[in-house]
Amino acid sequence: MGQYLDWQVLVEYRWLLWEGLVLTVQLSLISMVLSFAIGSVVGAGRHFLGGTAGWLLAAYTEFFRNIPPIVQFFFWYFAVGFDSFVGAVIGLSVFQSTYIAEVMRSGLQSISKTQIEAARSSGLGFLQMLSYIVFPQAVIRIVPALSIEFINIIKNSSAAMTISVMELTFQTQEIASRTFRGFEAATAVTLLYIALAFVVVLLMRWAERVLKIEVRGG
Amino acid sequence: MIEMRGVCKFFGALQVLKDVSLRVAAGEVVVICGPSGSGKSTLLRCLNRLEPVQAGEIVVDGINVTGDNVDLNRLRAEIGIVFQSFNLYPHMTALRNITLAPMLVRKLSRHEAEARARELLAKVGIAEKADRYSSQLSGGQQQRVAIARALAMRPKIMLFDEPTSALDPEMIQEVLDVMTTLAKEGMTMVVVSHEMGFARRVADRIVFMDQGTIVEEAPPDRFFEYPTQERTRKFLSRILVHS
Repeated sequence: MGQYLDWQVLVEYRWLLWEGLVLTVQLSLISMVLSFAIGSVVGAGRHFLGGTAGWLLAAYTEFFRNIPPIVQFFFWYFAVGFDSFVGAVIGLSVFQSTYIAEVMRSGLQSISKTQIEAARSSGLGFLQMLSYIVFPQAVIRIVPALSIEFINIIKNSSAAMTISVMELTFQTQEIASRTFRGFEAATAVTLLYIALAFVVVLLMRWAERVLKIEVRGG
Repeated sequence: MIEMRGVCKFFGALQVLKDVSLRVAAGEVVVICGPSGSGKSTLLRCLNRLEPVQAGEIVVDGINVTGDNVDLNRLRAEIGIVFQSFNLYPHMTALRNITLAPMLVRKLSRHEAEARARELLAKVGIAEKADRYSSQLSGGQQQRVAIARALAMRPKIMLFDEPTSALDPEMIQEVLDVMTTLAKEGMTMVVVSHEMGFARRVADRIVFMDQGTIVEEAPPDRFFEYPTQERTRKFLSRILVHS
């Protein structure tokens, strides 16, 4: 003990932090888009479809939601043999899509059946009804819950280091092992994750404001 | 224009329509009345197949509604419906509510659809409300937008499901006025309503339903002055006291 803190190492290894940050952002952004797309389809499917299709989607949700992301990373990387980044994207997207599916389903349940009747009785097809009437109204209601899921994606992406994706946490460990400056490295990674989450919160607040103006308290 | 034969409809074990037959000619205005739970709204909703039926046949404008391979979207484009609770799309302006289906289903250009929508808003007396959202409109205004929305598809038939039941008394008249105009222009209309004044003035025929069957149908004069059925007399004596 008695060692002074040396913040200089962060400046010295800033390129490692930067590379890690870029990879974390890439991994997270792609996974956000994919998990939102998959989650929307699964959530809508569970809401509207009964029978075997509905059961299969429920099984998908239960299965992938209840396995830790790190185990899913191992599966896609070691068992299936995907490239580490691809394995991480798939693992993260599939895992988080199950949560987003449930969020989306609750949003869809909040839309009155009478909206669907109005749309269908004017001659709109099922997909038109979904994309013009139901989906826009559901999304505005789930923006706060979605921002939590998006932040979870950023946090869970850190587990991708276990399949050698050189993202932010991986690079922080790298700095720590090269310099033995674990405290400084941990501080840096903490602040960077907080900053990333904060960006998501701000963006989602902005999205909520813009969408609210369009919906006008509907 | 509309022909129902032997229609039966169940909700689970409960039979809400019992062997109902009804004809509506082109240009005719038919008002359906009856106590709650008599099946009148269900009957209306069967006409555009918002409710499927278990037995019987419904033919609307030559299309077999109850058939297996009916093109529902095409059928519904020809049948406008106005709901008790308006059901405007809250995330769209009045104008967009009206232009949506004509653009998506009738493939009108935005320009054509908006011109038609503004014309209809003027017709229902709220041309200046085009850019308002439903939360910024009164109930009567919302219902008039809903009527304009249905008319924008240039339907051959208009269905009204208790269009004034959710309105303040002051706003009922403005909606009835629009419906009266429409009837005078020769629109084929089926109206589920308790507005007996409207029925007397505008309807060609009144249909009285109770417990899933049509008890009596007659032109307004005869219906109100000389009802043939005891059940009809009882109903009329109750509702005419306070209207």
